[in-house]
Amino acid sequence: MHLPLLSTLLFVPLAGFIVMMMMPRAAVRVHQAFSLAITLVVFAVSLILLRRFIPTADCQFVENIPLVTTWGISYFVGIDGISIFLVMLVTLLTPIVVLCSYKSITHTTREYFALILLLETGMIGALVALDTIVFYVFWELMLIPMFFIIGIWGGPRRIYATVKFVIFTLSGSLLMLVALIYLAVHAAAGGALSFSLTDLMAVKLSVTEQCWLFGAFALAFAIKVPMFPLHTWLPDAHVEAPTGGSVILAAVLLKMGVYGFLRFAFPLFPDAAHICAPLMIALSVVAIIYGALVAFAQDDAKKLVAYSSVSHMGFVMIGLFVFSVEGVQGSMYQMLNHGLSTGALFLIIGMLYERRHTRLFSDYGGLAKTVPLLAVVLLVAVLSSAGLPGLNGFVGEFLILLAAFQASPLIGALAATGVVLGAVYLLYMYQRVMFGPVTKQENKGLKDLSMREAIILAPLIILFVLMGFFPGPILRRTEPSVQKLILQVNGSNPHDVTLNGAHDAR
Amino acid sequence: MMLDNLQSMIPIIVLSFGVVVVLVVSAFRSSSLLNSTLAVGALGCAAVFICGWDQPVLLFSNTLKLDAFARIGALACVCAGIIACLPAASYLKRTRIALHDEYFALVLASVTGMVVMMAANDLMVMFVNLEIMSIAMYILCGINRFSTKSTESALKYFINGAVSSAILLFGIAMLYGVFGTTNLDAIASQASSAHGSLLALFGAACLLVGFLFKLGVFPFHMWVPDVYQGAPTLVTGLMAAGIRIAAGVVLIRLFADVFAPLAPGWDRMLWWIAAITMTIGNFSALVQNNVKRMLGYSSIAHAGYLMVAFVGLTSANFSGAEAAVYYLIAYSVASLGMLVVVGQIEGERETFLEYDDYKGLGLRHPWAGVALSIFLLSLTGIPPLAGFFGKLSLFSTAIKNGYTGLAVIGVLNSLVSAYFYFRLMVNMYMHKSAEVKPAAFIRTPMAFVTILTCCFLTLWFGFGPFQIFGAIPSVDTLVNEIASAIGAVQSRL
Repeated sequence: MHLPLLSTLLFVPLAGFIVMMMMPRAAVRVHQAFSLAITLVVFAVSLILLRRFIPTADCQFVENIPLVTTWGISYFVGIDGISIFLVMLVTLLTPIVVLCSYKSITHTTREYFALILLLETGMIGALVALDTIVFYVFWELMLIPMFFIIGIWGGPRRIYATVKFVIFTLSGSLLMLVALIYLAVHAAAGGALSFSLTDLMAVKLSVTEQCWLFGAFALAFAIKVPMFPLHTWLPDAHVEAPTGGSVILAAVLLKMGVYGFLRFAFPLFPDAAHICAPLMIALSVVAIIYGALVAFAQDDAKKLVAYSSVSHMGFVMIGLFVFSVEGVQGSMYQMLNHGLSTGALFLIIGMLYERRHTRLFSDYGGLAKTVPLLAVVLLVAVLSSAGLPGLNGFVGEFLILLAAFQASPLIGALAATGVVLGAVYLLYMYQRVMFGPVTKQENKGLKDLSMREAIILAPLIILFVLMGFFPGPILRRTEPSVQKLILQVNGSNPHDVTLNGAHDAR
Repeated sequence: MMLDNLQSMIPIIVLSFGVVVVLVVSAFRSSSLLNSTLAVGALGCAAVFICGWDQPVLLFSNTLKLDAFARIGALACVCAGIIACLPAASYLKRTRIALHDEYFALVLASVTGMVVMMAANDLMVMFVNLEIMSIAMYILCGINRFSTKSTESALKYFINGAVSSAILLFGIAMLYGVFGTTNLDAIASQASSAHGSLLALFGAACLLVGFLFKLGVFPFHMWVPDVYQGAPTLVTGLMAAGIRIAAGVVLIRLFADVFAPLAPGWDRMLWWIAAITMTIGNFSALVQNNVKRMLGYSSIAHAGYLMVAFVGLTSANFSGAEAAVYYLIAYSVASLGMLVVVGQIEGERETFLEYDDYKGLGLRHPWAGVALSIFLLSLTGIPPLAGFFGKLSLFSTAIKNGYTGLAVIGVLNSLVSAYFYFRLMVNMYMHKSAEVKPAAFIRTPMAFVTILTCCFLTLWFGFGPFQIFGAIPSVDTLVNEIASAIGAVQSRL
């Protein structure tokens, strides 16, 4: 019998969390080393998972154990092309987050690292769950550690930010819960309840019902993404969160919204997804342009990256709602890109903050002379985020724009302005931080990258280049699942309906 | 007949005998340790034998019906009594409540009332035991004689409770007038023939009012915040858990089994009652600064959630009973645990009960903080804790019965409640040490055990081996196993 890989991934961090909470409070070094070891073990397991992964459309490594038979809840987990790389993103970034918090988290380290481990379980669990209640459990499990991470180790306005984060996220997910129960009750039709995704997909719903339920799911996911009018929690949470929290928030938690659309909202409610597509695309276009413009006006580095996330996630959402293989593939790829490059940006901002205790651009300037290595790394991260050909960001943006133009030239053209604007605000930021004369006395004696910081950033930089030149290995593995999804979503509608739907957006 | 059924009677005998023993012993020897041991012993002994209630046993010319449904409620109430007694000795001493011997006798009396009331198969037996339960509780509320708040609480509870008892009794009289009997089985068999009888409907409505009052449901909720705040904290816990469970179980018994044919079309009214109760409770709790008062309002809100299960109560295929009982137990565990923690933090003369007093507490007393967070998260309904599965079962029932709108109102209320529950966690963890106040969590072994048990149950109801504990039929299987194990031991003896 093989080791159940997914359960290992899930329960190793959870066990780590419990052990960590038992540790004495003062043993800071032990907390750091232990959490790093656990997260590295999880990463190693996920590498085995990747090696054994077969690029087909079906879910693999499936485990299905009934939990509550009377309510039809089962521990049903599995992984396919849509989730595998997001799981890899989680397992890769968590050790990096642990490592980057060595210096910045000075008090109550035990609780901090324990919560990071708990968060990892939540994130992996949400990605591998195929039972909707299990998914919901892990979905909320991501919320609680983040609530504490922002609230305890955050900046001066941390309480406002964290409460806002919780209220926003909960308001979506609670309505999703009602929709979920409604779905399960209908699926049961008086018989035994089941919350398994495969059973729920078999339900036949009227279009009106689909629209309501899709609305409830979409609200939960759109808040997480975040889509345009629901994004206001993001800048607050990002600015106040500690570096590690920002990285996880931007790199992984935002992806959970998109993942929710792909895994649940689309296959469960294909007709409603088509009906709502024009609205979603319109909101995404607004998000792209609005996010970019607001980012341009920021003086706080974290706020800039937060708004750039709004803009970039707009791209991802457009790729989703054109319902074509290229679009969804591009979105998948862009999610990984955004996770890595935004993660890197937050890490670098955190490093600068540790040196200067400010994030305002006006306090910097001319750093390229004093910290050349850091400047190079930031340049690569900025260019990756801006979508320079040769780095990873280009591949995803290209695929999404291709799909958008196929759907409608107008959407494509509007989305493309986002690329230009992205380059503008990112390079403007780079110019203000790194170029020009050194105006501030404090900036003169700054230290360049330490060994620890270099180790943190190196894997990300390597991935930027690798994923920029060789997108094949990733796209090949995701493609069968994406094709299956597109078939499910477009099953009832021929492809041209999609185009009509998209045309309506004008 | 009597000898065969004696075993079923043992819990009731032990409990009522326990009241007398504790009272007599305390007259000669004032020792809260001795009395708490006696009380906990009686309750524990009763709990063991309650597990044996399985097949319905009818006693005393059908006035008592000891069955599996009564068993769950009785077990929960007895456990609530144990939890209210275990940490009490040190709590009463610390808060300088003089009547520390009577406390245990009164808790026993109140629990006896609850247990018999849930087993009653006759309206008069039910009423008498309701009074036993309530009168003991009135005194318990006022047991802190030197506190004006406690006295106010007792008086308020007493006056309001007396009015509701009178209404209840009035209703029983009406029903007697219609059916010529107070036996529930007899009424049930005639109920459908009395359909349309205004007098019967009025009697049933009076009964409903009486129990809604005990549950603290709108529009009979006014007394709750003051009484919860003023009563000694452990008494508040017993009130939140025990009385709720007892009243809820009896309500299910009365209306699902007996009065269903009398009261068609009550669903619409219960729908509004549920919606308004939870909304009032949650929005009032938002602005509270006293933790116990907040819990009072939040208990109104939880009564409102409970009413969600009762909508559809009178329909032919009522499925809310399991959901209601599961939710009651989940809520009771969390709120009892929470109140025990609050009691351990409370200082002399009702100090350290404000939100501000909890600042920094989670970091100074990490385990108390973790326990309190677990209870708060369970009350909010965050998975995978007991409260979540409670709400899941309630809202599934509502949606199954076609009340999706009520489920939406319910979850939006949970959202509101998240704010004040999370605010306490914010205070515990997220304020810097400069703002810290000197409230401390007092560790006593008994409090530690009770809090740990409540934490464990809150996690256990949610996590892990769901088949054992997940839903009411499965709780039954567990209890059956315990019961058969006890039976095996007894036969060997």
